[in-house]
Amino acid sequence: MFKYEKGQIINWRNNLVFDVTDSKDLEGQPVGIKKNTNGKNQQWKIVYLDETDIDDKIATKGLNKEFGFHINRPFYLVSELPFNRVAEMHSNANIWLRRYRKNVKQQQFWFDERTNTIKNNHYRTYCLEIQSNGKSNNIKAGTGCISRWW
Amino acid sequence: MEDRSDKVHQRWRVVYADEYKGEPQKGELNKKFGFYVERDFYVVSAIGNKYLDILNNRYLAIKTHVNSRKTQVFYFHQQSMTIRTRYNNQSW
Repeated sequence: MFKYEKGQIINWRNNLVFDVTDSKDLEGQPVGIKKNTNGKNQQWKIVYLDETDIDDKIATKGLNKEFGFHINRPFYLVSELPFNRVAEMHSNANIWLRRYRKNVKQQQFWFDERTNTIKNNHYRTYCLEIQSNGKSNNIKAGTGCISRWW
Repeated sequence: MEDRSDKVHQRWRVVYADEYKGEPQKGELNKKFGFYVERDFYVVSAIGNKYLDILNNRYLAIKTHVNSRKTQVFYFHQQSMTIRTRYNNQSW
């Protein structure tokens, strides 16, 4: 039996709490019970379905304050280097710096509120990701499109 | 009967019958457990706002929210005082 108290799900008998294993924000990361450390990985929100409509909550415009992007609003990633080149997605999914060309959608990106990822405006199912599951220094476009902090 | 230990299994609350409201009904808050009875909810982790989900009918994990995925919907079952999944009504 579990109770919900101060953002934690607590076992009635032994006071162990729900815990995201190793605090890793990964898709499918196991959840177990552990001693209470008050860690963020032990904090949970109970969201009643009748008080939220997830579909409605996915905004189609406006600023996402957490990520700092306007939703669905195409933008350029402009380098501060002297030529002010912009990031462009190549057909091989690499991202490189190119001279700005008007209305070239490969050079435009947009923030997808549903996945919390930055997507290319030409290859619209591709989002920016750090190669090799965050272990590389290379940014590449991919279709995995699941936001996570590495 | 046992020696007094002051532990929870020896503590009792006297509630007079004319004041006893009975157990919380559907939609009412169970104050002791912190859940509304049989009111569907998600469990959202503070880590990446991911949702508690059931993998392989058995294991708990966090996953991205998918609307209408019943493995992410839970409710508090008053009779057993457990949290159950809408997927197959099994308890944690």
